[in-house]
Amino acid sequence: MRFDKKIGMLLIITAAFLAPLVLGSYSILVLSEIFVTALFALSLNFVLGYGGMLQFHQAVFLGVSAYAYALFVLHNGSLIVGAILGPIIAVLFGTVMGVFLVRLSGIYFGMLTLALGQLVWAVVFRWYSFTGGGNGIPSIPLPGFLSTSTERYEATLIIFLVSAFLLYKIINSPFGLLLRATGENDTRAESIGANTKTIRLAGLILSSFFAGISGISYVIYSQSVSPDILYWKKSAEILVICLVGGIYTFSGPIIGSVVIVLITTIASQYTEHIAFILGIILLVSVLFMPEGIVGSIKKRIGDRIAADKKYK
Amino acid sequence: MLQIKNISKSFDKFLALSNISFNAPTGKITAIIGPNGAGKSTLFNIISGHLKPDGGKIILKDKDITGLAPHAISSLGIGRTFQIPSLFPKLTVKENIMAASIVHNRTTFKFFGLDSKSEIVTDSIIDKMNLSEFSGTPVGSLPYGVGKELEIAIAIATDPKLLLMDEPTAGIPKTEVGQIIKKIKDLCELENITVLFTEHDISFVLSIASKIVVMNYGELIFEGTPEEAMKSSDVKEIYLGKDA
Amino acid sequence: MDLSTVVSYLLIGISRGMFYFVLAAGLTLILGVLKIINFAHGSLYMLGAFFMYTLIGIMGKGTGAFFLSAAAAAIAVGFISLAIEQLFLKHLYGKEHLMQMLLTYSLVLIFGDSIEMIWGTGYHTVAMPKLLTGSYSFLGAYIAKFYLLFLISGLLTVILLWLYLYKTKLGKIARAVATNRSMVDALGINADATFMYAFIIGGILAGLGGAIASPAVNITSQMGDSIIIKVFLVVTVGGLGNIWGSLIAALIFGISESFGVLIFPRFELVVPFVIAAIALILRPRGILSK
Repeated sequence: MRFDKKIGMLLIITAAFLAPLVLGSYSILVLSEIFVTALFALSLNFVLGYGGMLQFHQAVFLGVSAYAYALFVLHNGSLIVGAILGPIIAVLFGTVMGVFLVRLSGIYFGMLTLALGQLVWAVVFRWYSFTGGGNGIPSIPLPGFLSTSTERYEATLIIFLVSAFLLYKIINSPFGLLLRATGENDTRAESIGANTKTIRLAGLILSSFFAGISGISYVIYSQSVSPDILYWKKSAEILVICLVGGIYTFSGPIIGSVVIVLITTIASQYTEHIAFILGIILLVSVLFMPEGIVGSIKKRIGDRIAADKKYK
Repeated sequence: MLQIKNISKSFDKFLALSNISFNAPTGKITAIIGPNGAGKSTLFNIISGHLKPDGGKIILKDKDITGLAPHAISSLGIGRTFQIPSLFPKLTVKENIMAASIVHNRTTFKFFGLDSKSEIVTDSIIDKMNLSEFSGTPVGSLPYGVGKELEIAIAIATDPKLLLMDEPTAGIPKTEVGQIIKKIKDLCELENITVLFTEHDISFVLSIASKIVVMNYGELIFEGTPEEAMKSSDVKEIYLGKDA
Repeated sequence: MDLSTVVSYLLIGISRGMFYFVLAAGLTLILGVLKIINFAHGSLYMLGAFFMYTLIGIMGKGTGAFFLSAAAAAIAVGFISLAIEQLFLKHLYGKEHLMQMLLTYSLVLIFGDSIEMIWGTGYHTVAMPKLLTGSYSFLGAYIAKFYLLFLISGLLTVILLWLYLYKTKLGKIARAVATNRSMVDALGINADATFMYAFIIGGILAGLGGAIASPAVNITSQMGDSIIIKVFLVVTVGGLGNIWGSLIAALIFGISESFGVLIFPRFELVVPFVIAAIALILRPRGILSK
């Protein structure tokens, strides 16, 4: 079983690297969007699904990282330094917000994420002279080795693979176990001696780092930024993706990204009312499939194994 | 081991604990008995740091631990089990125990790889507690009694010198009570852990505790050996009276 | 800054605060009683405004028609809330917050697009009724008569909610549910009806908010997006489920926003978020907590 899984993954990854040979540039762009979205969704699910924190405004970290790169490059900074600066700025925001956030729990935590996130959005939106305000920043320069669409595609793919691998490792580390424990039952985690505030803070910082990475990936994909990428609706969108895929599994957010990005792309050729379709999908998911796509499949397999055992 | 000194606590106008003092001797089993609402759980929550007392002190060995945070108290060697099993439902039995072991082993902030030492400790606890059958089962789907035993297993994983157990037999079928009692006895005698536990059923307390503290309506009524408790007219009248 | 400027901005701030309260009261009632964060509250507000636009089109521009339309719009939104509660939310009581919240968010997506299908993507306006045009002078300051509508609606909401919560049986149960759910269950009170009425009342207030705002704003399919976050923050700063805390928070938001426009016109948008962040950091459980 495990072995098959590994081979399957290798096949998918190889296919992903070979995709530009077969697919047209539009399809490649859609795939890039999936990788950017999937990494962003994984960064959110790290605190939401595993850490049990109601992070309602993850988009801020993607946004500030993308803006940090864009503004640094625009003021004649080095492209590579800019790309490193992005996640650092995201971590800075994550740390400062996190210090205040970990003192709260439940809905209050969620509301403070919204307040702080919208605060950042409002500043970016109104500070025309620095951020370009509502227009954002179009045509951001990229390094020379990212000049073709295939190169940009491969960059988003590699960034996604490396980050997803690291996140997977962290979730399965001792820290990952304690983060999950804290997310499930904070009081109990405290009584086994865990410093839950520090654990949650570390979780938020790591999550903002990976969201920051996805911000750089976003710039590579779109080569522009606008305040929309840190508006609360962007955060809600990514929450929906995590839920549709399944928040209690590692691959859920990835599958969610594939499904939602593909549906959005295909549907937008026929109708303008994509939000309506997404709304229906979300409604149905919440009512009938709250474990998400991956969660439901796993449950079904689990039930079958249990049933098999019973009869043996 | 543990000294409770003049602890008082009230909620709004309700006096939950009034000037409670006693100690739990090292290496022994001490039982706190009293009817529901006597203040036993409140006292436990104060010892474990989940509540702050209005007055008084909690001394562990020679150290004043009054008002410390729960995680700090736990790392000083006080383990705790809950009356209603309070676990990590989506984690497996093994993960539940390992989480405690990792915290105790101070590898919480190890972000990559595994903690093999905690894993070894966890496996040995699973063995000792006869939980290997459930090792990979998510805790949310365990029978109630197993949850109670897991409570104890998790508490041991933090390698406590003092173990607080809140009604370890509550909700367990009569036939399984003997098993739990034996485990508590083993913990004290074989692992050398000082035990302080609460109970509302006096019959089984007499068989294992070497010291008994009786509480009623937030007050300490009696402190002494089980034999003395049996003879005490106060205890009989206020507590045993109903059953006798 | 002379006295008359201060007075007029203060009055504008208070009326704005009262307007926020109309929206926040419904939201916090739902939060307190049902423990649900209702993202769709912004959509219901928006529906109130669109219903108003259509009703005014039918009934004409008179002052009487204005008030009748506003009442009808609010009640229509109340019926939609009833449908939401009975069809969807009912099935999620006792489930995780996140699921309930995402369900209401799915309604945001659905309503937003449905409104575009029905009323188009452009913006609409509702004419100010004659009674509310012009301005009063007060301590040398001029204040648009229209703001009186916010003020009166807010006060009316305060009085009616007080009557509901303290003088009716359902309201008393609602308060009990909000503070101690398990006790209500233990007493064998069927909370279902309480949930339903709380959700309908919340919806009516959202619809009313949209109706009274309609002559002052551009009616668009996005008008709910920004207001809902602001109202969320009012409710949180007031203490979740605490109606009188929301009243105070709404007034703080309204007044500080009003002076924000005067003092930092470029960053007035930032003001409510700064206030919310400071309030939540200093008083994490709401301004009225301990």
